[in-house]
Amino acid sequence: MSELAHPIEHHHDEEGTRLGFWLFLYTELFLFAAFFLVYAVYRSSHLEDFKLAAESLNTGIGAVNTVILLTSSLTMVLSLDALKKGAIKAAKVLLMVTIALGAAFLVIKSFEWGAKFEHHLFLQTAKGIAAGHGSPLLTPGEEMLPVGQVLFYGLYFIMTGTHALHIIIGGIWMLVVLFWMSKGSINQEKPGVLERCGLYWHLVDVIWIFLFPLYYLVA
Amino acid sequence: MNTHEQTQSFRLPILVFAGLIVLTVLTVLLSGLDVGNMGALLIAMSLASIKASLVLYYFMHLNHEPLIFKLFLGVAFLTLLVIFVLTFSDYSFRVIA
Amino acid sequence: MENAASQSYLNSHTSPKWTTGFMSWFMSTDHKRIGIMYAFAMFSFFFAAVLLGFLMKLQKMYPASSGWEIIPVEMYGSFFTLHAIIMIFLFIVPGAPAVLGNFFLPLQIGAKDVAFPRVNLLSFWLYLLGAIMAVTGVLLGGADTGWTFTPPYSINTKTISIFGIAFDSISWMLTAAFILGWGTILTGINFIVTIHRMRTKGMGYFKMPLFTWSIYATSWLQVLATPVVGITLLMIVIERIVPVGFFDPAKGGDPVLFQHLFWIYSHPAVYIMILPSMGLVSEIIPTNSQKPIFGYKSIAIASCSIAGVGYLIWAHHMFTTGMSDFAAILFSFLTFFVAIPTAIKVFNWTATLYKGSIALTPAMLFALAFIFNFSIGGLTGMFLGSLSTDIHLHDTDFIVAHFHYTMFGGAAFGLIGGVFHYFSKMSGKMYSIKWAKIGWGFMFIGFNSLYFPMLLLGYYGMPRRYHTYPDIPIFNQLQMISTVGSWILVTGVIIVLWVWLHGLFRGKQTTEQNPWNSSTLEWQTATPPTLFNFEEELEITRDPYDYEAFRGEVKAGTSIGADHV
Repeated sequence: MSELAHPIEHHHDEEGTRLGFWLFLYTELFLFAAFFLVYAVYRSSHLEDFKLAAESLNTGIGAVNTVILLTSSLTMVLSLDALKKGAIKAAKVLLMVTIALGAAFLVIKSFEWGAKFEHHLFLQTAKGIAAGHGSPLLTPGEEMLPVGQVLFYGLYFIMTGTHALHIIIGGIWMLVVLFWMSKGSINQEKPGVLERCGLYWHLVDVIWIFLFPLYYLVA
Repeated sequence: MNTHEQTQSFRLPILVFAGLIVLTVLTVLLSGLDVGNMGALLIAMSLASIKASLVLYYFMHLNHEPLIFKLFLGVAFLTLLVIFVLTFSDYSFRVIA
Repeated sequence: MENAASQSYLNSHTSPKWTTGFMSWFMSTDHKRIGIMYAFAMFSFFFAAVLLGFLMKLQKMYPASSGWEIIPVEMYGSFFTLHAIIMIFLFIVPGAPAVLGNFFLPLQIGAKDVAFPRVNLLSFWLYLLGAIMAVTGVLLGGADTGWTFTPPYSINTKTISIFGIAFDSISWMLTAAFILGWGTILTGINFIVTIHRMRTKGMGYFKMPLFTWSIYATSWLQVLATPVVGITLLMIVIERIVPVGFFDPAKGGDPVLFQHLFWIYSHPAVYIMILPSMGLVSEIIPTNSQKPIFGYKSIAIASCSIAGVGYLIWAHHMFTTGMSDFAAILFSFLTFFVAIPTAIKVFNWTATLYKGSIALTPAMLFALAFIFNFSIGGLTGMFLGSLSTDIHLHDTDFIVAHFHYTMFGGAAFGLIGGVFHYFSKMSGKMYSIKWAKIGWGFMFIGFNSLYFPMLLLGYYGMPRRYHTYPDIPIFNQLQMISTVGSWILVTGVIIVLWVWLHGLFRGKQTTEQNPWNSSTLEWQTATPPTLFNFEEELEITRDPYDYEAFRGEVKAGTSIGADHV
């Protein structure tokens, strides 16, 4: 059996790779689309409950997080721009800022989640459901959440949770890119990986652009 | 993609960013209006769509991509639209017992 | 001078240097090796699931009153679930694209490999991981939810435990399906980019062979439909673990919404299964008629419109779920539109046969059987797409027979025919043509005597998924015919698989490049193909099925035709 000295020498097709990556982004989009569809259906059938529950979310926090993500998208664009101009140092700094903003988003998000937990919203949800099944988790006199609000919080936690998971994946990816930029394998001539990482990050931003009004504003 | 366009200044991204922030503020402000459920939803979703388009077109550089990228985007959005409209052909006409 | 690239792909490889033997396949990014690996894995699963089906038919041989019991009643649910999960997720969804698409898509468009060879290998590993998870899930607990995992049953049911281990095998198998989904998504992305970016010089979109067109349409469905079901299945997993009520009516959810989300994927998925086989039939028929295919462009466009319309009709699976009448009428109406491009294809194939010089090779026999079976499957689909008849036929054996006519008699027959068509090109060996034809005879007769009675059974009211049935003469007779048919069919399947294995290990070595005298590009490479498929850069100047020009080329010596013609 003969072997090749160099494994395949594939022509590198940047545009083709980008095209494939866009297709991958559409699969991410459709993944969230299923969530949005569930949201839309239950919102239409439990409108009052959704409005009441949405009022318990802090619009200020949501708005701040929106601004943070938009800013991080800007720094990502600028970082790629800097890299393509050969300003590696600036590109790295801007990428670090992007990572920091992503982290800030997560910290704020975790406070928000924590507050929800503290107000027993999640537990109450769980208890309410358990009670619906005849299990006596609720102490006497404790109020059970209406079904529509249970659905709202369930969707809120799973949709923002999935979104946060994407932020984490994006953050890890950016750290890897940063490392490769330091090692020089991502550079002015080969910015492809940073470019795709950026596309991913912007998509996560786009999804948040829709999550924000649906959960924090339309109350 | 030609290098000429790539080496343009930081101005465009910052302008787009400013636009996004303005739209965000607008979204928050307009959510206070009393225009009914569908009205509020329509306003919020339209503004979000404009923001998303800005991000897609400028930040994700669709403006520099060849036609095929835009066609793919069209296919994806058309499919999304179909899914939502056809699902609501059920839910909008349910008879609630 | 002999270098690695001009050797057969069976003898030289692109995997890491240290790999030999098995590992040189398992780590290979060569699209041809990956295709072969899929073939081995998929047909093994196929055979296992055929045996499960055989046992289920055996169980139905006599009515309940006779005391006949092959499968205990509490196991029957997990038997048909397992049969469906293997057949759908592990066999027919990856199906022809994974085996023949991987192998022949780059060859048909004159490319060296797919666009992302490493992602291609990752797809295969995800497929294996998902398959292993699905199988262990079955061994450790099983699921009797049916392959559709419909809530609230799939949310509330405890799993059956075979070895007495407490283990949430339903969540486990849902996760397996999610992973398998990512395997097909990545394959889809790979093929779309390959087709857009890697066609050789002169290969315009309307110069691509029709199998490539069908793979293209399939890939779009894989990319845009699979994520929806992936996340929906994960929502069931979440609901089984955390008490949120997405689909459980006891917690405020709507189980019908799950069915919407499920069929938004799973209806396009039936076109993921059938389209590639239609593509194979479009290759086999012109080759064995030695004639240009009738209506090339209309077949290419029909592939895409089947994919498009396939997206608009999912809720015809849900006429009896209590969704709104408006939606039911709308979806019933839209369903009839898919018959148009499908019928266009069938008419084009039969028109291609007209005045052709027909060679009844094994591949051709399977292609003709495809047309016959698929026509029955498609026409019975029209019955089911009509609202009023569907109310009567829903959840009866009629539906089971209908989708077996399309999926087995159609998709699987097409795939098997495709393997016979391409066998020597892939392996460099020739199988026994005589035994292949005998196997076809058993399969075709067995298939129809198994499933045609089921159409009647369903019409007379035999429900699907039932373990047994009451002692009614018409049921008894039809079930008996159907069971005997299953024996003939299984015999045919065993013969076909044996013909392949025998051909592979004992078959006559062949280097004949174009044994069926086909005009498409994939036959103009060595048998078996060399590592990078083509020795030199190619330029395409004629239409793929221009047999007139092809015969001229063979005469002039610029193309390779069959030696014996």
